[in-house]
Amino acid sequence: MIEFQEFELVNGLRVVFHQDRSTPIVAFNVLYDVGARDEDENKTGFAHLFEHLMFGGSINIPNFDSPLQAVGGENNAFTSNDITNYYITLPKSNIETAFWLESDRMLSLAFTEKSLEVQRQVVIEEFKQRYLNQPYGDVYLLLRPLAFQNHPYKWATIGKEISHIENATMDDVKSFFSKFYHPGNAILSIAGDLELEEVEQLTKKWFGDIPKKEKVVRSLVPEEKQLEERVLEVEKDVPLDALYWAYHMPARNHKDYYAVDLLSDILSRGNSSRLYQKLMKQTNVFAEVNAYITGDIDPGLFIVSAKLNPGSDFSYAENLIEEELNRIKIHGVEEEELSKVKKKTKSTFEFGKTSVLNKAMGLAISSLIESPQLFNEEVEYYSRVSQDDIKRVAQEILVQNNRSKLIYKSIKDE
Amino acid sequence: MKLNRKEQPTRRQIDKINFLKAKSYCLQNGTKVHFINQEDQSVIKLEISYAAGSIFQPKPMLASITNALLVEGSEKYTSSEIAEYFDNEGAFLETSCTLENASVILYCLAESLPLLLPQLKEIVSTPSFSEHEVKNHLMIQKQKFIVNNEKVGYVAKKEFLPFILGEKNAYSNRVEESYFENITRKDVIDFFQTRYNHQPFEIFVSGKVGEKSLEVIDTTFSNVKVDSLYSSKPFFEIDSSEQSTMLIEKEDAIQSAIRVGNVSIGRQHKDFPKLYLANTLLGGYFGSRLMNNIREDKGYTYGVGSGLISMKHLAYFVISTEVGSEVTNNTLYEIELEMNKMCDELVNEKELELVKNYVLGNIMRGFDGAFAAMDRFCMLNNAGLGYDYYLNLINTINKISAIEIRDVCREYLQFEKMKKVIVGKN
Repeated sequence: MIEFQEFELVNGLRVVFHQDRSTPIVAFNVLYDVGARDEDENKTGFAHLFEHLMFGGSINIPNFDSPLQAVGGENNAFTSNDITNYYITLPKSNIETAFWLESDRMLSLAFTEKSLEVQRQVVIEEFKQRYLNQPYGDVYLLLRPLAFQNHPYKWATIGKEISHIENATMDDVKSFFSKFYHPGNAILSIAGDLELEEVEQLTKKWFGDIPKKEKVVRSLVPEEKQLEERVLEVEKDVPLDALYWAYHMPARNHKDYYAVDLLSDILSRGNSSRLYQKLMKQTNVFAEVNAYITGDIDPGLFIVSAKLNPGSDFSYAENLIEEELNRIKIHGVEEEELSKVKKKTKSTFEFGKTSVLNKAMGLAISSLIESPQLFNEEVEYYSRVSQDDIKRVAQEILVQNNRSKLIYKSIKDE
Repeated sequence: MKLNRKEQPTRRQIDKINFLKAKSYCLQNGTKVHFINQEDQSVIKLEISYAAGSIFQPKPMLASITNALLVEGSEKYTSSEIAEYFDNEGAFLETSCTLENASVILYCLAESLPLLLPQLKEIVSTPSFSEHEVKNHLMIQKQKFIVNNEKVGYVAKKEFLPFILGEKNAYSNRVEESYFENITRKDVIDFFQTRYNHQPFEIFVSGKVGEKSLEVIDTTFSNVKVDSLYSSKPFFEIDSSEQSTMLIEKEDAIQSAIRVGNVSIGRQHKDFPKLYLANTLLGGYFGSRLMNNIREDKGYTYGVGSGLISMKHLAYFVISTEVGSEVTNNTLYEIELEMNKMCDELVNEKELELVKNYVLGNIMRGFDGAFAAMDRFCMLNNAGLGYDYYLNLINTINKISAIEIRDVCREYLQFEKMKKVIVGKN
């Protein structure tokens, strides 16, 4: 169990504090409840571009990184479809610098033209490096709009297309900040060798005077139930044929989320998993095969992906995968298989406890989904999943009408 | 009192870094065990390491393939039985092959160690290397290689060491698609017999390593027969071409991968601490000269950095980045500019202070927790160094002057003396 304490400021900032006496390093995590799903369909890639801009100087502090590095601190951030998360690790004697930096950029950014111009270029390079210049890099750019027709999950965090980033204006950026970057929309999570009193005192000192703003009430277009299979076939300059099957799955806080997660583990986590043993070890058809979930807060995706060895017949490969999925739908899973993946969940949690950063982040994300206590409770929720649950969710989710198929063919087939 | 947001809160110097140190002892058969115990943890990481890295292979790729196949079947258990056994305990079994060492690594709950360690011993002592597993593994690795070979970053990395060392040097470790056909089961068995079987190994274990765990390690490994280290003479001579730049064109590359570097000095060298600091300034952290120029000012790239890689018999320096292909030449120009600046101009007080403190923070992070602290020990152990390496490093950091930084750059970081690999477009 991770012990923690929580409190909230008048302006709506939620704070979670976990004391860890074993380390001289403090993890300081600020999570903003904004992600790619909150973007305008014609102005995508903003949440992520914005993450970059957060490092371009705030209203009172021209440079974010230098003062932090000067006190032995390190930092980074990431954006997903659901959240934008910023984290710092630094020696505890300099904890006040973290409060100073993060509160100032929550207060207001510097919004310089130069910062926007440069980060625009950097993000464009990131788009190229990760999504365009890598084999299979653009899979999600194709799979998302196939699987999602209505909900904003239909575009990737990096953005639908480079032009959206190219066309972003300073006004766009300022209004994005105003809407989403304020105390009521943030969770501050701290883990380290501090006392609650000093955390409370420093929080009030630095974050207390940031004006309260109305929290944006999300009203995202819900994804309509998929009624029939969707298929997209593309040909790309890659060495191997690949396939991606995306099935809709329940939301993060749905009671069946854990069962679906364990289903993906039984199929594909570790070398004793079904897909690995049956398809990778016992056939020569696949170069790789995986099943995993996207972990989204709104109803996300359960994905089966595979790369085929040269010469493998595509239909044959698909049938092999289908067979494995059917096996679970018809026969369910063994008790040992289920307890095995539960055990992995538990040991992963135990390994996670060895890092202050992991704990701070986990508490922040749990707070957003439900409450910080969720961080501790989840292992229990996973352990309660039954064999019947697994079979049932497999039958509900792994059906053809719920599937979007991306067939990613190698032009070298010619 | 009104809040002053313009001024940084009082900075406190990092004056004390607690080195969480490994303790070492020998088993009955002479095997060295190094451990770091952190009582409040419930998990363990245990690594069994052999002198079986790529520099020792008689044939390309043999070291990494043999290493990976260790867990794919033993005398008593099939590959799937092994996988099942470890997965059942919620444990993770990994293999790792570097240029110098090859390991099997176990991550598990401390309470599982008595059950898993004997199994681990059986695996590394009597692997079966069945024909089926060897073939299967080679096929999978070949396809992985083919996909990776399409990435400019991967190709640049692959070509860099052969280019600065010459093809014959053991560290060049060339991998090509056709090589996968050349590995046979017999090759794997022979390499295992030479480099693993009855060969000396070391154990590195961290986490909840109390009396009980140490006892299990003792019981399990004390009786393993260990002969003397197989003597071999890998080719370590440097015989690179005169050419200073290698360009590999990739038709429709929208980014070019760039590597700039050369053979350099390692941690054992007296100048290393100074060079380490100079390297940090140049490209070793987010606010470095290279990052500030090439990413934050010009926007040419998502990331650029420089590093000093220090191994037992080789050390090298390398700058790496992937940039928009249309700015490949511009980037090389800026890299040269920044390196020249380091050699011509003195770094100012403020920047030097910043980097010193950043590095001290990094060292602190490096000893944060048993797992990280064991990584530090492994590095020292591999280099034949003790913990005073860190005392020396911290001392150098605290005392170093701008002039010393400039001088160490003039000695070791001259752009004209670097070789360049570019994959993409020029």
